[in-house]
Amino acid sequence: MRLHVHLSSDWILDTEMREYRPSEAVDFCIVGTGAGGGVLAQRLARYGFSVVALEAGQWHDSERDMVSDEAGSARLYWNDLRITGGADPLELGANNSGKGVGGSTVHYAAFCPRFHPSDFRVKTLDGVAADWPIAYEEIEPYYAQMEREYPVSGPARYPWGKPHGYPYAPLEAGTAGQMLIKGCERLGIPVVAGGPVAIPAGRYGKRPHCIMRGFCLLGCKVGAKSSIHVSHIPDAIAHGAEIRTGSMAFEVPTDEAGRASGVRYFRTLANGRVLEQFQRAKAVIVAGYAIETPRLLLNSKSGPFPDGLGNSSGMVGKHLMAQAGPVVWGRFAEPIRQYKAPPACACSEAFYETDPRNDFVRGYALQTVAPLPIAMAHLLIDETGCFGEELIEKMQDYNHYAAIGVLGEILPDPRNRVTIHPSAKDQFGLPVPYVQFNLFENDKRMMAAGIARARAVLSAAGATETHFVPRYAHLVGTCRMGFTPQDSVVDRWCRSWDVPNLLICDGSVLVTQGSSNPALTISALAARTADWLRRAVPAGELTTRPRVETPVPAAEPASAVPTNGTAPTPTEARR
Amino acid sequence: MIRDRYPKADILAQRGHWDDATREVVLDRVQNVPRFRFFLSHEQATLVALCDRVIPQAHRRADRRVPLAPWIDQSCAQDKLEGFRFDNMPSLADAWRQGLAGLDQTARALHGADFCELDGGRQDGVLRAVRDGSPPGEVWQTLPAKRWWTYIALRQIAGVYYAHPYAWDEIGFGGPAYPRGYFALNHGAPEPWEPREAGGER
Amino acid sequence: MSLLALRSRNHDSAAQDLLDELREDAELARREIREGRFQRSMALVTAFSAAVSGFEAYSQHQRGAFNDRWMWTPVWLAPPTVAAAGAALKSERVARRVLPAVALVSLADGVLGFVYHLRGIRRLPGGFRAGQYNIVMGPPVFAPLLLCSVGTMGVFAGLLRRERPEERTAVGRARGALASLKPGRREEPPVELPFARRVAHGRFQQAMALTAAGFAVIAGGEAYFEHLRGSFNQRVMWTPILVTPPMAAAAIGAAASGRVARRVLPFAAAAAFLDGLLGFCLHLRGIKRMPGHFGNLRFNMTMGPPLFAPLLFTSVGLMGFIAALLRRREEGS
Repeated sequence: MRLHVHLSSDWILDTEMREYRPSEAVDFCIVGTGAGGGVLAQRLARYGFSVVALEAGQWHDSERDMVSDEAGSARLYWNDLRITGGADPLELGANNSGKGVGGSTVHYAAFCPRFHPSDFRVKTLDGVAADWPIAYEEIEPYYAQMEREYPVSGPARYPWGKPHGYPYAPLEAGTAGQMLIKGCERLGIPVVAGGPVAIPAGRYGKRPHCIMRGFCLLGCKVGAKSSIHVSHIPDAIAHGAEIRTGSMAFEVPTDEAGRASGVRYFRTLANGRVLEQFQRAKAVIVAGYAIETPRLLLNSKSGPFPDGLGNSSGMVGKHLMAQAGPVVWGRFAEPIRQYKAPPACACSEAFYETDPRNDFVRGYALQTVAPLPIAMAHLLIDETGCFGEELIEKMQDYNHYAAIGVLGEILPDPRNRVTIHPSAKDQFGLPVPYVQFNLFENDKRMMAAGIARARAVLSAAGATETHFVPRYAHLVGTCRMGFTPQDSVVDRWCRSWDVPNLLICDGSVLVTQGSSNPALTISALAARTADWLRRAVPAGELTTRPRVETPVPAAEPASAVPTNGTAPTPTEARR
Repeated sequence: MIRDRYPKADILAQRGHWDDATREVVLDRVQNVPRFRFFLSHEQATLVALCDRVIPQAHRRADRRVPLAPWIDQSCAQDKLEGFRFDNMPSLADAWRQGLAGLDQTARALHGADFCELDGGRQDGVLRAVRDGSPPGEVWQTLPAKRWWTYIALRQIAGVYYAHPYAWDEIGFGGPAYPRGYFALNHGAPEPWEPREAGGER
Repeated sequence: MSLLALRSRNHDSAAQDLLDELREDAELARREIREGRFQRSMALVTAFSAAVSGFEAYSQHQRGAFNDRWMWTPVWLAPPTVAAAGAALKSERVARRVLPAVALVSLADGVLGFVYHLRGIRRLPGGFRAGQYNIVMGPPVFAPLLLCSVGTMGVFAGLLRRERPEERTAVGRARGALASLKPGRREEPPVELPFARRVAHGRFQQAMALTAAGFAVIAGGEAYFEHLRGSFNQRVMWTPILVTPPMAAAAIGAAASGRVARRVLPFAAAAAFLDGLLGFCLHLRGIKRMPGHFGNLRFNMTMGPPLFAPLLFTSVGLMGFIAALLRRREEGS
């Protein structure tokens, strides 16, 4: 099929995309084309596997479909019905859920920090949450790959976690970002300007450099921001992968041997008709982000899997984590005009790690945010429920606000979970997810401290008054990785313990979330899993279920690290 | 007393600098105001009165007022996908219907008349009662008042308003920015074509 | 002889005549420069440089939103400088009296701009402590000093003697010799400083070479920081940085040794000259490739690669060429 999609103001993806017949078993059927699924499609296609990636949404053509308009951008988000509850219910939709080729990386702000080494050992270090079955060193080379491939801009030396540099120079900060920098400077808080953000400073292949329009969260029309549909999907297609849009996966059936046989999905055609189809596959990778992935598995019940596919542990859907993301804003006497320049431009991880002086463990990061008008109105409304003249006048101060987002590590708890709602159905007649979320003691104390710190930073920068409202960001954890089939859903390679040829490779597998935006980590895990699959599939490892291994030492054997010569890099964009 | 802080603002005058897709979406919003299809006439009156209290526009010239109620009506009529629903809230359309009825119930309980019949001050009083969480009225026994106030009434009405270029003019927002982005990034300075704040920028 | 052979002979000789003419012109130009008679050419270069510098100052100061009134000075100084340099083509009086004065003001403004840009960097959050970030993101620290090249050329132009195009033919030369015997006709510049006299007679190779070296280093530094801001996203962005050390070394060497000036400097200057033209073309392409292409010109010229900035290397190359052709201070006439 002929694709003709604007990926940047300077790049039309005009190419023949290979199509597979649903009845022919492809090597991999991937559900989702976001930070995880998109990278997997690219890597596996490059390794010579036949790949079909199912995407419920459509392409977002940067010229036709993206607009510089908040209210006109609804098509970017997962707006299908979901029910949200719990003591501290999460907002979904535009807040954290993308729909379309590229997934949530189309509308993310593009902050791309790495996890810290401590994030993988929170149980050992702080006695809470759980340890990952892998160490930082195992994912480290893949972080470096993703930072080169997205690419990511940042300082020559990023001082937190394991210090490292960035391949692209820091991005310029606007006035709003300068308030975070100024406030941190005055309080002696180490802060990094210009990153780490996946918006290259300077042209990158056929992607022009950023024009500072500040509409990052509505999709980058310039193509400067590194969304997966720009950074990896074109290369996937060039190597034979099929990106099948309008394909809403609803079940992963298994055969008599207990192996996944493919993916059943609803295909919405151009004329609006909806067909039910079944893509056969030798292996299935679910990468639909932390709500749709468990939903798909829980809806895939069968004899051997009465509680949902791959759910012998009962963990599918549990340990949902969102990061605390309260927005703290200050009013300044001088103009700020926060809507200019990318919202993601400065960051401090000085309070990321556990500090024994705190009354909580783990911590938070301070990041720049820059709400557009409707988002700002929502903040003001949520704070006091104000209306009338009060609301109008507060909004007239719009150009005088600068906002900081506190990104805080909420700990995993099995009571925070995704289940299937007993009655509500979506437009396909499928049972919808029921997302339940609650803050617990450590979370509340951590949030309070982060908010207080952000208020102090803004005041130090010159704000005459500061305000805040609770918010949450990102979604991870619902199919966690672990050491044994009893306490986790997938093993260290993202393979289901229960089904030999089923993998889950997206935000769902994260054991803890740190105070880092998850996109880069999700992509790095995907690259790592793809690397393993490259060796494991020919070796027949997907024919048997994973074995429980004794805990591996921290350092991964060198053979797993891809050499420069074979490291797959998307080259389409660079030409 | 709402002042005009950006008297020279006129974002629509910049539309020649926008891209086609954005211009089409924004102009459609400005020019093609939908007819009422979902709410009954009394509900319409209540909704219009509510919108006037949430976003007062009497201080603006008649041709510079933003229609709000028709867009709320359209989102209910189209059964717009919401993205999420709180587990103790009904569907969007039901929430609006019930909420508007609830406003009448509270208004009658407090002042003996329907919401749209009250004067502005009394209407505000009704709304504050809803905002505070325990307003009189049968509907509010099952429809959570605070949640309705924030997520249905306020967010949606403000969402319609601040999607409109006249509202952008009111707050001095630069508006759509593609292919012309921003180059004056320091000191919160305006671009040469952006409106300046009355009384000086500082 | 056949008609064809006749025509081909004429054709050959026409080509030969053209080549001879060009050779004569080149020889004349060389002599004129060597003797300090290139005031009008220098004024022309000054006019062009002043125009594009004024444009760049306006364009880039838009990014600072002209938040300080002094940011207008390089913009307002451009028209008078262009006018003075343009008028200097016609009038020797303007060239000697008006142009240097305007040029000195322009020079001072460049130095002032340098101080202001340093202050601007200091004022950013973190100031010089966040030096590496702020020097790249803040006001480009070397750009105002590069505008000083306009003033420098204008000052030189004021001290030079005018060209004598009539020197081309033997008759013209004779006429010129006769005219110089006439009483009352002064050729020397009114300024009595030894340096001025040397410039007027083309004996300022060392000074010109050092000037070229200085501006080469400043241009190289500016290119480095600006290209760093773009992450050197294309390898060709390294060329101005690579061209700078040889140019500076050759120019300094030329100040020390006439042999280096004649044999080495021209090549280094050629590299700088051509790299500047290459940069101009690539910057034009860069502007075109931005969203909206040439239809979004005002924005793209401001936010995109600054179109005229690479010509500073061309100007440095030109200074190098001139220096190579000049006489040294201690040489006889």
